[in-house]
Amino acid sequence: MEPDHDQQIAREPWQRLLRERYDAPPEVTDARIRQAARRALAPRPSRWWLPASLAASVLLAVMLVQWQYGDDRAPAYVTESDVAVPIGAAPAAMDAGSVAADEPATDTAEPAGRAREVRQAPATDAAVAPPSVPPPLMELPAYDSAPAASAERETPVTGISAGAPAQAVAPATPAPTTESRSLGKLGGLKESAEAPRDPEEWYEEIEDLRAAGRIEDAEAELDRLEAAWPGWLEKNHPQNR
Amino acid sequence: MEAGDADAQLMLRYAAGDARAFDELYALHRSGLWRFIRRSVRDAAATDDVFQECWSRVITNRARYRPTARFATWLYRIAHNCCMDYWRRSGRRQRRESADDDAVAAASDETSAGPLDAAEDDEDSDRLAAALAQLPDEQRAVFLLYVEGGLSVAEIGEVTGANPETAKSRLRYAVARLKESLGAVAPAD
Repeated sequence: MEPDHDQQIAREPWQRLLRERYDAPPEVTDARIRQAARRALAPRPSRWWLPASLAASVLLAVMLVQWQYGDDRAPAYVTESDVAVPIGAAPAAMDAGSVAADEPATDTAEPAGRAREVRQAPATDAAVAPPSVPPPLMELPAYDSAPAASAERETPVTGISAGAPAQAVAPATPAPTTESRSLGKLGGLKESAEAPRDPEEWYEEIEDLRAAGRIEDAEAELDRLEAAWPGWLEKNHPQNR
Repeated sequence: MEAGDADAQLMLRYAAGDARAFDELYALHRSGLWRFIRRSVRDAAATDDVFQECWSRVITNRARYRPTARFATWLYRIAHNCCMDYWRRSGRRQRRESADDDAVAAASDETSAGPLDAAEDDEDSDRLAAALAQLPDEQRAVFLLYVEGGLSVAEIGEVTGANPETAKSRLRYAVARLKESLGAVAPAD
């Protein structure tokens, strides 16, 4: 519906006059426009590669970061000796002043930076510790010298090797093996904290307990003696085992 | 939207994916839009470019089309904007071409002019083309929107961004000047 003032100018005569020329666009233009209209309606191929490449990039970045920093967070390989000394014993050992023997024990509890520092400065450690003496305080039975040597092999960070006895990790009383005794002489380790008792004296005390009728106490002490001095009892008092 | 605006329905169908609806819509408006653009830009080669650009915008904006007004109003607003862009690009915004130039261009237009067509009717048409070329761009646009686009004065105001009174005034001035130029050939009211 047009307002009245539109009706004052008639369209028809003007249209007739105008349409005598410039009637229509060329057919080529018609075809081009119709084609464009159809092309616009055609579904576009999905861009599956865009999210896929994005996901792959993120995955790669995460893997790279994990590979780089996961390596620093904890050492890839530790010796059994790294976990041999209980954490509670570490401060005492540090007080004793032995840097070389102490470092592996503290590594297990310290962050990545510390672990990296230790690995990056082996020469310094070697200068402090005697080269012929292995640093760890591995608690192994005295007669088990061959396994003790092999226990120094590297094992994954996740823990102790399957063959290692659980009690070797943190025994109640450390056995004075050759290694630990030599270390003790060097750095005053362990001896200052818990000096092992003489087995002969210990055994006499056990005999006294038996004589006093405290059989259970005597048996318990006997077990401790066996644990502290493996093989000693069997060798010197075979009747008790 | 006016009730029963078939063009708007066709446009909505096209936006929904119906290619045939576009064909129908195009067939309905191609000639009028072509003439509007041809008279506005007054250049055969440019007409083709502007015409294609106009329909390209229709296609691109199909999803944004809302039938709040007549389809013709929306279409001619796009066409008017395309012409404005062309004028800006070509620096012809205020240029007045001579009637002779336009007549020559009209005579050389290959689309419909043949030897037999160059008769009396064409003379009248050429005189109108020349008279149109003499009009200011705003008046010419209003006149063409009114005659070719079939828009009302209010719709012309909406398309050109002028208020209806201004559009009405421009239309009257344009018609008066065309009548003056055409003389006896001019259509009587």
